[in-house]
Amino acid sequence: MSGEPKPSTRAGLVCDVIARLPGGNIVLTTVDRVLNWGRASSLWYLTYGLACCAIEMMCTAASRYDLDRFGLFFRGTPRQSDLMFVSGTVTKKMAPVLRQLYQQMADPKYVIAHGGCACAGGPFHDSYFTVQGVDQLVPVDIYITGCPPRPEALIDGIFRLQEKIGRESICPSARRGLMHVAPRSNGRHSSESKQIPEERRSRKVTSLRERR
Amino acid sequence: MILQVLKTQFGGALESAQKVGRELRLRVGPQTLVSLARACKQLGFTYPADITAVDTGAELRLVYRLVSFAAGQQIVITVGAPRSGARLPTLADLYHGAEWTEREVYDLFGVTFDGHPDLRRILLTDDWEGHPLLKSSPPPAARAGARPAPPPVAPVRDLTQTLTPTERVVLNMGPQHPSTHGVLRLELTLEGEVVVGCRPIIGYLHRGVEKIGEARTYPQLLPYTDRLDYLSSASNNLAYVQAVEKLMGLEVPERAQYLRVILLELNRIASHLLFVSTFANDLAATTVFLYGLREREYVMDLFELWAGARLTQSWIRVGGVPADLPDGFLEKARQFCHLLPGRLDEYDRLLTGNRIFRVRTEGIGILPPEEAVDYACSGPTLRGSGVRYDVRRAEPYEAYPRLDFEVVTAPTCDCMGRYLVRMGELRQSLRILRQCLDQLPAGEVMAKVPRLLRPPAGEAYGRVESPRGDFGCFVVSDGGPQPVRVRFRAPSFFHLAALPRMLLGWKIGDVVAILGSIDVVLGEVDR
Repeated sequence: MSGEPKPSTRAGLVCDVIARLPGGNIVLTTVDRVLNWGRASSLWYLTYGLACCAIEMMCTAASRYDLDRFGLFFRGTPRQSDLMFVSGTVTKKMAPVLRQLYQQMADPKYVIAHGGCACAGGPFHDSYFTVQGVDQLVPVDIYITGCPPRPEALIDGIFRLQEKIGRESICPSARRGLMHVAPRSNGRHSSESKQIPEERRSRKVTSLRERR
Repeated sequence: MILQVLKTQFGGALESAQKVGRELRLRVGPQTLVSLARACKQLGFTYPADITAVDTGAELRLVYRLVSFAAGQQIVITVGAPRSGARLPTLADLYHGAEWTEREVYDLFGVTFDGHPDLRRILLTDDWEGHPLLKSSPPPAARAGARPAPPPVAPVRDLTQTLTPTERVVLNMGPQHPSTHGVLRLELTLEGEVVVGCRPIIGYLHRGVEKIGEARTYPQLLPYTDRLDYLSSASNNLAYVQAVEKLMGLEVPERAQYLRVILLELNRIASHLLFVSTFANDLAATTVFLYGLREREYVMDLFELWAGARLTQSWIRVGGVPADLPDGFLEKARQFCHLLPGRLDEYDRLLTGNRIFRVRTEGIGILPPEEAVDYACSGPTLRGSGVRYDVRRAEPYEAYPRLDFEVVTAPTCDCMGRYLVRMGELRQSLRILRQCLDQLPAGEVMAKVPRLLRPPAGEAYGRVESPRGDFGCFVVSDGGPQPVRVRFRAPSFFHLAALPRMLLGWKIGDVVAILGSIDVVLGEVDR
């Protein structure tokens, strides 16, 4: 890995050392796969329903569209959650509360903007009291549009989050090349990693490093 | 009759007095307001349905709406006030239900009420500047171009600063809490485990729908009404559409009326099933949560089949319904009517006779009937206190006069009473649904409505019995394509105002049961 700056964290140093050993990369990727599998298969989400989308979130978690079979289970407190569904309109009065809850969650944490209001203000985009999109307050991993989105759309968003988690790595220097959004192309997965332009990257996809 | 009595009593102080439909519209000056309200209350108008204001450009018109259950009439008192610096006497010592509505008028219009016990902002943040519903405030504006800077995020107030060195503790419940049914914040003052004080703080979902309404055309505003009481969208649609139809003098065809009732009752079933599920879930009966939502999915299927949307159907439009029932709907609906009663019996076996459930709900959260009326409670919250009042019977609309159903009440005034009323209403809704499916007449589903909706100038009030209670919509039109003022009277707003009365003296574990039993939806509280 010539030309890379020296890693600053201990994990980074350890990964660097292991990577230089013969077969080290295989160890790292296997560790990645196990950790990512664990994180993606057991996403405990914070019940953060704000408005109408919260009802669809409840329906998705309930009998017919059971979320428990994907490992998702609701927790009332942010301390025990990995995932925050922001379901519904965020108002200026609620904004500091949302920030505080996000900060109370422990890493690794993910945010799904559920519904049009959380993505970009929704039908209330020109109101004096709403925040136009929750990504003005917290970094968002997945945007699910709809008003409200169907439970199947919510489950699809969760799958995409699980795929995104699958692309994470504990090795800091390996992360930079990994952050691309592979388009869903009917089973054909693109094998080249595309570097997306800077403006789009900071808006749509947040790297793990930026979130810290 | 009542008009004559008031005219003889107040004579010249009444600037204008006329009877329009069920409404007695009176206009007075601010000095006569309190005595007129007191006289109305003595004449039987004990239910303070709504207090709001309209900014007509020239002046602020305060609109006080009082209802008499016995007479089946409404008195609408209008008082003029200057657009800035307006001061009016308060009605809070006359009606408990006036406290929160006057706070809202202060918050959104800047009118000060002399003598109000607790005049501070209710929906907006405490440090907000300005009064958004005045016409001088900026209209809703989509901020095109670059995303605006994120709002400054102040740290949440540290409640430990309010601790005094006694046993009293201030506990904050919400706005994120699994059992608050939305973004409600309760500041509970506890002595040990007993609640000695409660301050509900709302406004966390205030989306400014009433201000947005002034910047949308009439059809464009309709989908916003779905998102108010999002558990029963059709009742909100209907209240708004009723007001517009009254302004335009539209007659809805009979088949459309029956179809609307089908939609309304399906919404009532869906909402009450969700109530049973979440109420049971709050009391840790998670099984009933899953069962209730399983049944509710069948109702969602019916909505999806007919209207295309599961939750926010927007399927009651001005003039009727947009499209007729699809093939197979009647069959599926009848199958659902066969299926549900057995399931309701199952919930009865799991909950109503359950000793734990009974201990947690019987005798808890008493709301005496006179106070319930004074706080302007309605729906199951009012009927659970034994008051037999249902807007479908008091001011019938759509096909309800031709349908046979009972108004369910419970005499016990506690959480169990309110729960039993809703269980009874589920069965009554099935009864209404079966009748509609059998009696459905042929005909048009939509009246002849002009392409561009421009209701003539005037004002109208649409009132429906939503699953939460008396949902009203007040529309003021000036003849243009956009309304001058749209006001939504939400039943849950008044129920939350009555909540401290129901909570004091009970334990912290009962707070969850009581809050669940009044079944609030914060979307309509905050608008």
